[in-house]
Formats: sequence, C-alpha cells, structure tokens
Amino acid sequence: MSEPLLTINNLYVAYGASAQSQVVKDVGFTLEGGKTIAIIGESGAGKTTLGLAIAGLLGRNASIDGQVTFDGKNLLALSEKAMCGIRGSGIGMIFQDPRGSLDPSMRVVDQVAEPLCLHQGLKLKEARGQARRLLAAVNISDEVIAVAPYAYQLSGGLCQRVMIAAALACNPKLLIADEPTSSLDLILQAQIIELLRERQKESGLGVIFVTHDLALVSKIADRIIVMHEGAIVEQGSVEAVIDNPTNPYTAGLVSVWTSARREGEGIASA
Amino acid sequence: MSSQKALSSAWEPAQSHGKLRAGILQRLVKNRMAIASLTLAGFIVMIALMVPLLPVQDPLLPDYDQIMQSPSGGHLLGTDLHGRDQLSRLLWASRTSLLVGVVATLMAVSAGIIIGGLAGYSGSMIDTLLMRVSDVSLSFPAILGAIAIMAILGPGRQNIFFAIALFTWPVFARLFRSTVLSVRERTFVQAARVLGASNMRIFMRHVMPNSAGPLVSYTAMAVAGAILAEAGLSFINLGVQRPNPSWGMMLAESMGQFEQAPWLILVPGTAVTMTALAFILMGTAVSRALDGNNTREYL
Repeated sequence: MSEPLLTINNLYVAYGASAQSQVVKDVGFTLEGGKTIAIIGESGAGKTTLGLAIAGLLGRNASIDGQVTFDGKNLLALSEKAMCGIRGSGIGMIFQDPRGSLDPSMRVVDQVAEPLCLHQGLKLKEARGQARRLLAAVNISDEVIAVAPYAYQLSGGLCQRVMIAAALACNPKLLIADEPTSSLDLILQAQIIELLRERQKESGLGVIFVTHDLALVSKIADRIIVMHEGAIVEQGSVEAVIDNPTNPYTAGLVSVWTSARREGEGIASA
Repeated sequence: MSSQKALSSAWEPAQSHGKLRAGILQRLVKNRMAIASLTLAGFIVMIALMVPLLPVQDPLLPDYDQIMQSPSGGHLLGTDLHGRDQLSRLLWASRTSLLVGVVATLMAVSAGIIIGGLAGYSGSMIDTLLMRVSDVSLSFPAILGAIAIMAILGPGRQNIFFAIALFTWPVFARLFRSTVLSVRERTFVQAARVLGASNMRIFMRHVMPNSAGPLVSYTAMAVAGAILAEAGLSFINLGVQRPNPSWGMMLAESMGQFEQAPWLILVPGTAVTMTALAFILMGTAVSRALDGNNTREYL
C-alpha cells in the first residue's frame, strides 16, 4: 500500500495563547483511501474543531500547530487560495444541520452546481445539468426539485442528501462528515449511511465520521478514535476499542452505551 | 404509482411552508395598505414619466397679465405669482422630486452596501474604522449637514444628490453591516467555503442576497426621506435652481400669498405629503410581506 490519504501528526489547535485554551492536543492518525475513521467523544471534546482544522476552516483567532498531510501536500502550509482549490475538489465536508447548510435564497440545484463551476470551470448551464444527475444519484428526482427548488421546502433528509451531492460533486478523496445524521431520524440516518457507503465503494472515498453515536460507529467504521478534552485517548479497530477498551474513559462510554442498549432490549421484550 | 406517491409525500409537508417569491407577492396583494401605497406611488411615478407627453403649458413661461389666478378651465390649478401655470409646474416638479429621491437613495444604498458589507464581512480594524466614519456622518443632523454641503457646493441637481446621500448612507451601512454580521456566521456560509468558494464569492453569492431583506424595505422609506429633504433644501433656496420648478420652491414662493391664493400652498404641499406617504407606506408594506417568510431571513 502506498502513502495513506491523510496523515496527521502532532496537531494542536488553540484559541488564544495560553495552554489551557488548547482545544485539540497532540492529535495524530492516518486514514487510507476507501476507509472510514470514526471520531467519537462527548460534546466539547474537540471533534468538530479537528474536522474544521483539517479543512482549514478555523478562523484567524485559532492557532494551529503540527502537520496535516493530505494527498502528499502539507495543508497547513498552503495559502488560502490554494486551500480554496482543495476544498470541494479534494476534501468535502458535511455538517450536522442539513437545512442550515443550504443557502435559503439559492436553488439547491445551483448549490450542487457551485463546486462544479468552481473546480471544473463549467458554465452554470452545463453545471446545472450535471447537478441534476448528481441529485438523481442521491435519489432526488427532477420532479422534486422542480416543485420544491429551495432548501426550506425540503425535509431534513433531502437537505442532507443535497449536501452530500454537493460535497461529492467533484469526487473528492476525503469526506469529513461532522455528525451528518445526528439531526435525522433513524430511517433517514440509515439511508444517508447507505448512500455514503455506496459512494465510498464506487470511488474509494476516505471518510472521517465525527459522531457520538456508538451504535452507528460499530456498523460503519474501520477504525475508531476516541477523543476526550481535545486529546486522543484511544484508537484502534472497532472490535478492539468497543470490546476491549483499555482506557477508562472509553470503557465508560462503551458501558453507558451497552447498558442503554440492554435497557432498551429489556423494555422491548417486556 | 406508489413510488410517485412516496415522492410527493417527501415534499408535501415542507411545501406547505409557503412558496418563496409567490409568497411575498401574495402577501403584498392581500395587504390593502400595500395595494393602496403601491397604486399611489405607481401613479405618481407614471405621471412624472409622462409629463413631457402631456398637453400641459410651459412651466417656465410667465404671464404677468394672469398672476395668482384661482383654478379655472384655462389653468386647472390656477397660476402663481408670475402667472405661470400651477398644474404644469407641479407636474414638472414631480420629476425633480422623484429623481432626487431615487438617485440620492440609490447612491446611499450602494455606498451603504459596499461600506457596511466590507465592515461586517471583514471585521477587525476595517470594521472599526468604517463604523467610526459613519458615526461622524451620523452625528450631524442630516438636514443641517445637507444645508452646509449645498452652501459649499452651490445649488444644482448633482449637488443635491450628493448632499442627501452623504447623510443617508450611514444608516444603510449600519443596517447592512448588522445583518451581514449575523448571516456570515450561519452554517451555509461555512458549507459554501467547504465547497471551495472564495471569500469574495461567498460574500457576493451567499451573504449579500441573504442580507438584503431589511435594506429593501428601508430603501422605500429613504426615498421618502430624500424627497422631503429635497423639498426642504429647495424651500430655503439651496436646492433646484430657478426658474425650474420644485415643490419646495413653489411653497417658498407662495408663502406670502397664502391669504389671497391658498391653493398655491395647498397644492404643492399635498403633493409632497402624498408622495412621501406613498413611499413610507410602501416600505412598511414590503417589510411586512418580507417578515412573513423564512427565506431571506434577517434579524
């Protein structure tokens, strides 16, 4: 196997100067193409910040230190202009709030077409045609977008599919999914996951899946990274981490999940 | 068939939220005040556009045999101090009023969008600097500031545009800045960035259209403000140059003749009031129509 798709070494992110304000501490991992890494941890563990740091989306008041090597390039050394070229075409990202992620005053077709115009130099008209095909690939038909062209007219699940179509429009190699299913119900969640997996199989997409849903993680991830207070406390294969957590924090997370599941089963069988 | 049904159920509940553009129009049409103000403003604008085609008399031609005639068949609204036809002067003046109202407001809106957008979107030092400049401009009472500018530049149409716009833009800049500040933090801005859009593109394509709502309704009211300001400047002889007609100037010229010829005061006074009222009500109606939808959100 050649070089991994994404290598992160000693990544630190801090807001302000003092050591207490570090929100990501000494994070390092690698991701190979076609694989899925799940990052789990409680709210405020630095998961989202980590995702944003990889995509170069942290504001000027955040200081980043370390190495993020994507596809042979050190992302932290790139200019903003070069990052604009990579975002959307090399790295895609989807967020927790699908409806909020879509511009309310722009037709969703145009939003899927936007990365095509930006990265492949297509004219808006051609890009729209291709955007329609991309939407069809995520099971949104022309009829739906003809009747409901704007994001606020679509359900959350449809919005998230539009986001996926837009994020994957230019066939990026890496997708950072920041709790993409947290705001969706279980059936939609399953559909979205299925969609992502299909795309992954087709194109060898590497996925970083940020979530706090252990049940989901155990189904989709190849590796798990457990974060706590900005640092990685444990990482390894799904079986190793869930069945044999070595870190007490991970053990706590897992036991909460399993006991909740047992309770659920108890209620179901009663 | 069943797949079609499944499809339709996917968008039906969301669709009942209301349709975007149609929604705004429907709300406007349902609102009586909106209809009334749009009709009145539309009527005034139409008249102003058509004046050169109308069979009215020369507004500048004095006739000293017929001064201060009361309304009659020959002069529907009578004649003024110099025997000029009052109706003709009134109609020609409406062109000046509307032109000043629209152009000065457009200048102010453009400046407000550029300055407010730059301040809100870039933040930091530029924001502070631009907002202090707007503070300075706001600290003058607008009409006094405009008088000072006109006194320096001298009367004339271009100078009126400038004098009015100079004291109107800060309001637009502040309004636009505040919406930009909230819109730029929304998720879809980050989503656009993650698709590779540059700062400039994000601002033009995503931030600006979503911040325009409050500006639209305030613009109509600012037109009314500019029309009143022009009337005020012309009233004190710092606006339109004689002998060209202006409502403010018509009022000023007839002040002393109120008892002999009250129509000389009432007619231009009513014109100014009705025009300003039409635009103010239009602004209110538009802002209400916009309030009722969740598409171009603003705070």
